[in-house]
Amino acid sequence: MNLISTGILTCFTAGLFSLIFLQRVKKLQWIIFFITALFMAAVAYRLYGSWQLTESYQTGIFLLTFHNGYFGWIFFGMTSIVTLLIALFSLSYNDKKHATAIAPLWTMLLGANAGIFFAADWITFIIAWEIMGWTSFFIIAHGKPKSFKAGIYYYSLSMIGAVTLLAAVFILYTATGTMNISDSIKALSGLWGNRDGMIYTVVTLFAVTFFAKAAIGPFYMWPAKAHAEAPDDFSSFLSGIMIKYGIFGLLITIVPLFRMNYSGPVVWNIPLALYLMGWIGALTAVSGTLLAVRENDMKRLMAFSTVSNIGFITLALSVNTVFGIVAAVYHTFNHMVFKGTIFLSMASVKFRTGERDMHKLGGIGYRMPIAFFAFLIGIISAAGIPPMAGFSSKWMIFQSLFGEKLLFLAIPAFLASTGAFLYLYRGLHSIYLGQLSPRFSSIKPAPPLQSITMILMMLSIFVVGAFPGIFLTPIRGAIAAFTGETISAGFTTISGVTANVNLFMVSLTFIGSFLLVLFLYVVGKKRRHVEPLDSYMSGEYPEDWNMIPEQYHYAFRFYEPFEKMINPTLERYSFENWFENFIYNTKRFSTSLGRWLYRQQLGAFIVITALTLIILTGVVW
Amino acid sequence: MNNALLLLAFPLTAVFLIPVGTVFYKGFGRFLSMLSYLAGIVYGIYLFPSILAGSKTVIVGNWAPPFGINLFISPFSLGLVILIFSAAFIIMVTDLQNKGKSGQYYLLYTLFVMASAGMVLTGDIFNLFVFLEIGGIASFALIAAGASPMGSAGSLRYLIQAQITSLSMLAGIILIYSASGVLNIAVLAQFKTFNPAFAFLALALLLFPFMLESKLFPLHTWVGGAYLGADHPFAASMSGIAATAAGAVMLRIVLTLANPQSGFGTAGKSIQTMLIILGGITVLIGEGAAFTEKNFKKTLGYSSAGQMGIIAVGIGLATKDALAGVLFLILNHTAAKILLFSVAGLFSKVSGKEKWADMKGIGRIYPLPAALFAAGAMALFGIPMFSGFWGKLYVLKSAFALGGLAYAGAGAILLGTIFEGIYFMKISHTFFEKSDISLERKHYPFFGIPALFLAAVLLAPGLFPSILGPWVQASVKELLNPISGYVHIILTSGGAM
Amino acid sequence: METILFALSGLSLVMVGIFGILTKKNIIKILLGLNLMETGINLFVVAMGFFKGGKTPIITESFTASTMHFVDPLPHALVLTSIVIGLGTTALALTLTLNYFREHKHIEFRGDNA
Repeated sequence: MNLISTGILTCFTAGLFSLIFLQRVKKLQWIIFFITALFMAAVAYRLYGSWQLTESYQTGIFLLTFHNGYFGWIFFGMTSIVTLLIALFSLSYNDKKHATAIAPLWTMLLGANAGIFFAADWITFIIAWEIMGWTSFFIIAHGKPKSFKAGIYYYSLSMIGAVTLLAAVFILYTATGTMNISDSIKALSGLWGNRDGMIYTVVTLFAVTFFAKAAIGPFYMWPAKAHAEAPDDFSSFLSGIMIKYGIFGLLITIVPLFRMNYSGPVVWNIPLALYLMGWIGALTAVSGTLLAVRENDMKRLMAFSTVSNIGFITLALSVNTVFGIVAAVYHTFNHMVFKGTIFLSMASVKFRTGERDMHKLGGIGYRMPIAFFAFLIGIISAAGIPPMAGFSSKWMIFQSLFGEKLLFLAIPAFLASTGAFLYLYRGLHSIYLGQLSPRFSSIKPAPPLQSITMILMMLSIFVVGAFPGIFLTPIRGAIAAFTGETISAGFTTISGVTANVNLFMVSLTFIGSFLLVLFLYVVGKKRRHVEPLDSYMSGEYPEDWNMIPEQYHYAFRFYEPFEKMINPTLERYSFENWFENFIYNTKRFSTSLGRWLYRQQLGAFIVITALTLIILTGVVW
Repeated sequence: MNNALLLLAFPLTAVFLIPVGTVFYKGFGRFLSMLSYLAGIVYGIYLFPSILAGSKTVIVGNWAPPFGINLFISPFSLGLVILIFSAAFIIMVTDLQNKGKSGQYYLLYTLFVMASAGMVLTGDIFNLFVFLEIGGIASFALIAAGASPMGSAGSLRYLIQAQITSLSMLAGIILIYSASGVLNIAVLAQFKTFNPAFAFLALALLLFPFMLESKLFPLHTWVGGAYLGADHPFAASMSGIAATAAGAVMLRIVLTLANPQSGFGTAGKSIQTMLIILGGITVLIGEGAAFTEKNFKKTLGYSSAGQMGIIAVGIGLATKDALAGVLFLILNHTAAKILLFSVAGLFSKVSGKEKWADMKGIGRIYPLPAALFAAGAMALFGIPMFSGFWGKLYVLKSAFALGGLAYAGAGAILLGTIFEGIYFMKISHTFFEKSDISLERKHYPFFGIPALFLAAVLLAPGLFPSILGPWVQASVKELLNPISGYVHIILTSGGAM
Repeated sequence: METILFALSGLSLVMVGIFGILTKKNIIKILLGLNLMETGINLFVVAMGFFKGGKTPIITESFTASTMHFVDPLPHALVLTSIVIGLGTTALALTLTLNYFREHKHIEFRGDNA
């Protein structure tokens, strides 16, 4: 039975069907989307174990092949489950007031998602990659002028990535003669020492593709635009899942390439190129953190947090050990869950309040407790604090750095990791804690379906935190199938270089201390809630000075001193400005080109000169 | 009667009958011209299976090949002629809702279609020149007939540039004649002794008008004005029909006339190099100019230049893969451009605007045309599941395999694709943007059916490239083996019809 | 020698035409340049068939095909076609110029406006 292609075809047919016939019944479109997500999760379940499954289709030009490898499967399985949860959330999110028309395209995107992870040859991979590109562009842009700007920015980077992917694949194909992904990488690694220049070209082109998708290095700024402007429930998918395609791409191309037959220069036992990638990752992590601290828009803040986390993952990948790869994949999955949770929680808040600017919110936690807890658990995990899942993966990343004695890379990583507290805390207290704005004094808690989704995701963060084996066991299996090596880890314990931790014990300790604090809170003195404007101003009334509650919100210019400190540096070294200049100049060039073409006055002159020149070149030379 | 000359006779008869018939019935021109294209399509498809089995030549007026004119009916030429007639027919169908065009318009249009088909079929370079001039005169008039105040200006500038190049072609023809004494492509393809410099000069002179027609750099400066002046149906024809014919002629001249064994061999190689360079520059210039262009027709015209650049790179590479890619791209470009221009025509008709940026939100009122526009645009810049993807893939594969200068061509194609993707997505999204546009939704039945058909034409080879397989393989084989195929059939008149 | 002279005179006419096309802004003058160019090319074509002492290529009783002392008649035929085409193009171009004049009230290519 052709399970993979059936799944992919189902996505496209369902998507097209709802795109064409169900334009008027938005609700039905979302139900179809949910059913498709459910179906894909079932496909993932059925595919487990049949690692020999290969499906191929002769198109007459190239053979399109899907292969169910353990490594691709684990990504697909993980994304399917998270997608299913997001789809459940979307069912409730897209009511009459909030519905967008993105469901059909999103349904198709699920097919591209499966295609990327199961592609066994490059043509299939490119096809899935490009379909992913345009569907997500239309979803992000979703008919709003502001979102469109973000979307076209995203799509421009996507196009650059798609084009470099094509170039890389064809250079690879010319050199190795095979379109099969793993075979071609293996064959390419056989050329180390002979054709290094060509290999580095391929590596650079792949790097551009996957860095652009994963927002690594110079491409760090698209998430802030695209994540923020995309439909709220889709942001969760974008940040949780789509950004990981880049990581997956790096994992199947650059990482194995440097693990096989590499004989070039090394720095601290790491191939030079990977060491550079490590620095790019570290700097991405730091700059993501610094940029996130400055944000007052909650979705942009979390988008930069995603960038920072992707930086960590890149760092772990560049260590070039199995431990590092496991750490990277593990953190990828953890990030999928906790960032998904955080974005869903924020989507819930926006669903009720319609606000994205944090200083206009505040105290929402009193009204939407489940969203609050989801966010809380999510950021604890994101900050890498036990007992949540994020701790163990960040711990593994640092262990992998220590294992190779990469202290210089560990320093920025620590900086970024600590800096994460700054923005995560800002997000938590600005949105959920503090004084409730009078505007939102009567909002309702999140609807049941949204609450259920958030509770499920919270639970999974908790459980994985205590029992990392839930994720690690399959990851270890997949990495073993992929690289042939594995690491030692139990169901609750992980053995690093410097220490072994039993995360179950860690969890128990933290839960114990949480209970202690809770006890103190309950028996402690009664507290009184005050209104934002219930403030003291040297005998004046705040209202007389045109003060509004939002300005009294202490998220308002929260880290101003800190921002003053870092802003000049960030602005000086901003790739964003560089890109904008680039785009500006391209447009200018294009416009002047258009004008020049328009001056047909010159036309006859150009024609005659061209004729003469061409003839002269040809005849003389 | 089984004579492929009918392919040209149908439209030519229509041309002669239209002025007479228009006296009695005003719609006669439209009716008869469409009928003649339909006859051409039906007859072409009827001939196709037998031609696929073996190419044939038609000797006009019983003069054997070195002296008389002959037409060459092969999978390649017949396929493109069917494509040209179909394109003309579909353009006419999408134009059905516009009433009030005079009989002369259809007369000229049919003449233009006949000349384009003739250019693809003919086996004689002077006959080629005559068809070129007929098509040229018809198109100058048709551009000016576009009811736009820019029509005459654009048309005049096009006329001046086109005349310079076609005079150069005449000079090239007579140079070749003076050196060899023949004008027949099949004989010339076997002619051994030419001074390489002379051969290059003659060949370049011969190719210029077709480079102009396919908008290759630096002969592309007419594009803006001519597309601005022409009405939408004829702008579609310039992209879809004239450029297709020009591409076919370039393939014929570069690969058959200047095949490696002939006296033009070395010159042919330089011409191919030149085509790669010029094609690459054209892609960049065309897509670069379209990137910020706001006028809808001009944007599409510049994008057409970019597409022809890719095709020129493919012709320059001249490998099996590249030529297959070129055929895919020609088909894709013709179908997609007709689709895009018909949507553009519909939208500027209902909104009264000329710039795409002013058409915000129109896709919310006309969802089908806007969606089809997006599909056509994606086909053009090579999104998978459309035929353009395979075309580009083939050309790129061949370019990367050849290396050297071909890398530059591939780089230009890839860079152009970035631009193309961005501006087409911009336009596609603009249609769906929320706005306060308020238009009454009217129904245009003559738009929907042909547009859906075109979308199917784009989609079918994209999903199942093998359906084009036999045609592509036969055509590539014919183009790459001119001596055993083309020359042999014509000179022995073995396959005479 | 005569042939070369003949051809060169044709080509010099082409050069004059090109000069006109490149330097004039008045459309009529550009079209005149185009026509000069065309005439030059036509002369060039005829020159290619010419050789000194060639007879008119008409077969009569005294001149038979076997005598083979004719100038090449084919270029003449080509030139006839070319002249006819030139006539058509010029007529069309003049009509377009008239249209241009009606729309712009002048017959010059000016500035950037197409």
